[in-house]
Amino acid sequence: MSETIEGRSSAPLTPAAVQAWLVEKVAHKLGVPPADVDPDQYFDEFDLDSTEALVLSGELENWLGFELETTALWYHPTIAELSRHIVERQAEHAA
Amino acid sequence: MRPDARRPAPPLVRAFGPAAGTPRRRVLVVHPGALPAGHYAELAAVLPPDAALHVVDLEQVPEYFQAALRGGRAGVTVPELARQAADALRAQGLFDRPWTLVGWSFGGVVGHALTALLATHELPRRAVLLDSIAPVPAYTRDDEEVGADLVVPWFCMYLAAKRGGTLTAPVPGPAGPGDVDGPLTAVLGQALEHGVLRPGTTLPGLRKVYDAYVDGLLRNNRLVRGFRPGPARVPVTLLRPERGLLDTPAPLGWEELAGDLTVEHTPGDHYTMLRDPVAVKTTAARVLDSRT
Repeated sequence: MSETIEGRSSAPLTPAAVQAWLVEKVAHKLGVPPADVDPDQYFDEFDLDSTEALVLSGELENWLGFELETTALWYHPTIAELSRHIVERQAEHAA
Repeated sequence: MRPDARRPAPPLVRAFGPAAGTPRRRVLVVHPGALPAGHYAELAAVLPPDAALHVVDLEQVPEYFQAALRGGRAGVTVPELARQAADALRAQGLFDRPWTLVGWSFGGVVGHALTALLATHELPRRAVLLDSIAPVPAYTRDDEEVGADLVVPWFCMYLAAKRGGTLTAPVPGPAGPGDVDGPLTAVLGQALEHGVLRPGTTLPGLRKVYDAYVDGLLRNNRLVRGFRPGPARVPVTLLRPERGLLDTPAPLGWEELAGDLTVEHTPGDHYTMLRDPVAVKTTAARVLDSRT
């Protein structure tokens, strides 16, 4: 995998890489092993309040290097769905 | 608000506290968001059993909520928000008992607009406004006046109240009032030290929270700028916390709208006044002191 959790290379994103980043971040915030984070669970079912959801969103944008539409979590409410959406967005960006 | 467009949104009006039997009087709160509507559970808990409390949570209006995530431009007006609130309250039959209106912050503005839409027999006995700034020109700001020097101290109060803990507004840095990341770096350090934010939270994450907070302020300012209020139709009590948004002895512009205006003081700040035990008891006393 050319992307890393701490810093992202310029290689094209894959849903698996975005998902891995999100799982790692959510696991860190919750203080649980990454294996305990279900990518198909709704964001609001994790023990994260709205402030932490915004923090996650800001850190994700910083890692991606582009802004997400702010309703992305609204329309793509799981880690798996959001990861796929982000890769589609990046492809549109690059096109 | 539940982050899923495919599932039904929570209702606009929610009941709090034990509703034992048929209430004799009602407390209807207009809540503008920023803090969870669940904070009114504290007020509901100190009301007598014959008083039922309902909250109109404006964040359940998508055009209003999403404006705080989209640069602060709302696709609704204050009278339209008030109309939605009135319709929802009427649909639930909540104007059937003597009632008191409570409006915190921008909720007081929408509450004022709500009373303008009601038939005489539907009016509350009193409006109790919690650190709400009147929608009058003297208290209306242009967007460019909403800078970091003004907002960062408010943001510290907000973050501390929302997450629990204490934050002190940093002294403006040498970069001037337009610098955001400098003061936010200081806020982040304090927030991590005092456990207000989880370990590992970074500046880009906190910056996103700040940006959404600013967009919420801009949204409300713009809504107020487009609103032309009429005179109050009911007596108004304005409760001012020790540390409100504005440091002025004047009654935040309500003297221009309300002929029958009382001002009282509570502990806490603009945000903690919703849960501070003494402030909540003061609010309850004023709510019940409405000859209802």
